[in-house]
Amino acid sequence: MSRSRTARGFWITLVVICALTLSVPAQAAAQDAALRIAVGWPRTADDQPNRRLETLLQNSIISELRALGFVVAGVAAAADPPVAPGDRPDEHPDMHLDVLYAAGPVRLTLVLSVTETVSDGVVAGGSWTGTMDLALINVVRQAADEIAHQIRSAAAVSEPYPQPPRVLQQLRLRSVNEGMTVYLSDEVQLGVIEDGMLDVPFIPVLLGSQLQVRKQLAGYHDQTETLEITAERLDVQLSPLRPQVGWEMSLSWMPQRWAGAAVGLRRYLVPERFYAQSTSQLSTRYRFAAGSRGSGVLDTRLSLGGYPIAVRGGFSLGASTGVGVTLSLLAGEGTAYLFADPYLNVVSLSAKWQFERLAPFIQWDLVHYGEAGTGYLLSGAYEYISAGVLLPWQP
Amino acid sequence: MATMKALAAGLLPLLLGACQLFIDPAAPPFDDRLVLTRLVDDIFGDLRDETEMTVLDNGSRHFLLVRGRDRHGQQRTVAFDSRLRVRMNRLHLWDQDSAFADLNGDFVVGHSLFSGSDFRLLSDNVYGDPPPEPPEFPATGIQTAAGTVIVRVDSNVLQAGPLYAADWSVISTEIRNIPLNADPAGGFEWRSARHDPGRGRSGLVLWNSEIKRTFVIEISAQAAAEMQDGSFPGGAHVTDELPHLIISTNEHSPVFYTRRGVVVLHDRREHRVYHRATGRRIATYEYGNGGDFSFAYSPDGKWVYSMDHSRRRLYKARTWW
Repeated sequence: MSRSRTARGFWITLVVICALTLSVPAQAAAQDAALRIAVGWPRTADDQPNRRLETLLQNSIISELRALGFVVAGVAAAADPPVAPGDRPDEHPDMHLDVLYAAGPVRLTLVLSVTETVSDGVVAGGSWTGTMDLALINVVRQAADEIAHQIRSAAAVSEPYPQPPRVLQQLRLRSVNEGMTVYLSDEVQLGVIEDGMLDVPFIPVLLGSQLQVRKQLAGYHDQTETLEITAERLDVQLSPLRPQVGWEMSLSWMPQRWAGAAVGLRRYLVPERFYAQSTSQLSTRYRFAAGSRGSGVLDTRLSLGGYPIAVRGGFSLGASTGVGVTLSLLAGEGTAYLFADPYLNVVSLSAKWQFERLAPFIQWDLVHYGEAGTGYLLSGAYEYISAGVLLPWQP
Repeated sequence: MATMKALAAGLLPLLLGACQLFIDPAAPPFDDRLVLTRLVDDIFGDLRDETEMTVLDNGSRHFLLVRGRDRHGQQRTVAFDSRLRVRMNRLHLWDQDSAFADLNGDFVVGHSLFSGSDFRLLSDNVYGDPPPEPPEFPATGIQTAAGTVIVRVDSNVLQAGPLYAADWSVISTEIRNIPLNADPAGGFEWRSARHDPGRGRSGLVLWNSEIKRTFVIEISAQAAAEMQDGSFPGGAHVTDELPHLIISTNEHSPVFYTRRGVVVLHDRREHRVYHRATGRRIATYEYGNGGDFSFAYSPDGKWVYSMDHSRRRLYKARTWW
């Protein structure tokens, strides 16, 4: 799903995962010799890792680190288990570099984090995004440069007894939306809500910062949520997704047929975009005058429409067209008349404001009564206006 | 509470009755008080031109006369009874503006006489073979104690006479000319004449081309008799002696004399009723902007007929007052 989304534009909302560290252990700071870094095998959250890309990434990173004056004191192979704090290859490196990547058809996102071997403190990290072509090397180079700069900056300001930066160690997300996929960005999939929760893979996010995740579930509106990273171990209840409306009930009132109301049932063929609707309006014609008598009017209409223009703030402009028939029941002198006047709903233009549970709307109709039918209503084109509300409906 | 009641009683009807926003534009006129309707497409063809309607009332029955073209383009006059059943259907009948009820309650349309009960043809030449010459149309007949007085207008004068008996024999061939009005003294054109048997009065509707106004002159049976027998005040104008109303209308606005008042169709979208004595507008009915209609009010002011030209549908409705 994340790959398909890449095609319609990749937005980078990846929060800065690691802030600059304020201190590094004295051991690293005191060293004049080249720092020793063990480089882990690049990992991905995808089901199908790209071995060739991973090899390329690791080789490029190692090459860049060496060029920047680091000693690569250990290289993990593809078969090695993921490196976690306290589980380091025994080559006596000063630091360990974890490499996480997300590869889409067009873009590559690279997440690097450097932890100090002795204290397990994060000393550098960040994420970089580039295109999946030759520029990939530039991404690796940029990442390596910044990582090196962060490590050396941290070493320059180190104190004799520094405290390692506090970062998020464990993040558990809970949601009522079972099966919902959570992304760190369009490319980086954190996982799927199962049994109401998701344990997110380790992300070295500094405490006090924010983490923005995007939530996606079929039949629901995508939603982005910002998490406040306040503790090393977080258990966060995500806000529920707003379901996409499949059916709606329409209640409306028309001043020209003021003594009545209309109810409609709308089925969205494309969620909240294009719909088919059936509407029935029951009213009576009456004027406040002596001798005035009410006559029954039942108007039934089938229409197709949509909201091609979504402005902002839930405000949408729509258009529809359709056909209908107006039944008029008159009580005459000793008899009753029933007339049926078919009509063409040439066009209807509407504006609606979508709120959480309802959507008020106003609508302008252009209706044309022809010569067909029993001929009670006058032939010609007429304008009507109406106002109402749309309510989500579950059939 | 009283304020709310006043609002409900006054403001709401005003809003709903007068504001176009609260009127279904596709609904036919008087849709809230229709009592009968029927299609007339089997009788008439194109009704968009030269369609006229008038209601004849003899005090016990009334009939609707409709003149229009049939499918073959022929001028046809059709009489519908109060149930909208066809009672008479003839080609090339004379001008129905010269239709009136006689002393027997039968109806004269042009030269023909029809039964007042079922509009059966009684005579094709009610005025008989000469003498006298039949009146020059348009004209009307006003029932008086002395007989039926033929009344017509010739530019600046009202002509009263001849006088006919109940069996349409000639009582008097005398035709007297009475000047209509002092100022303007001329420019009068005949529009219509309607007799209200309930009040025993007739309303003569004239258009004055000089001041662009419609004159409605009310003529009682006694006044008609006096005009015919010469006892009408000498030198007096008709408008000096008889109640009349001068209304600002368009030249071709239909005007109907009824017991309730004078009804003027303003642009055919708004029907206005003017008090016969004061000329004050006392009621207005407005309907949607659709359709092309002809209208006719019954002289007793109880019924209004309308004809949808495009759909060829005839409606009968109670008047709104």
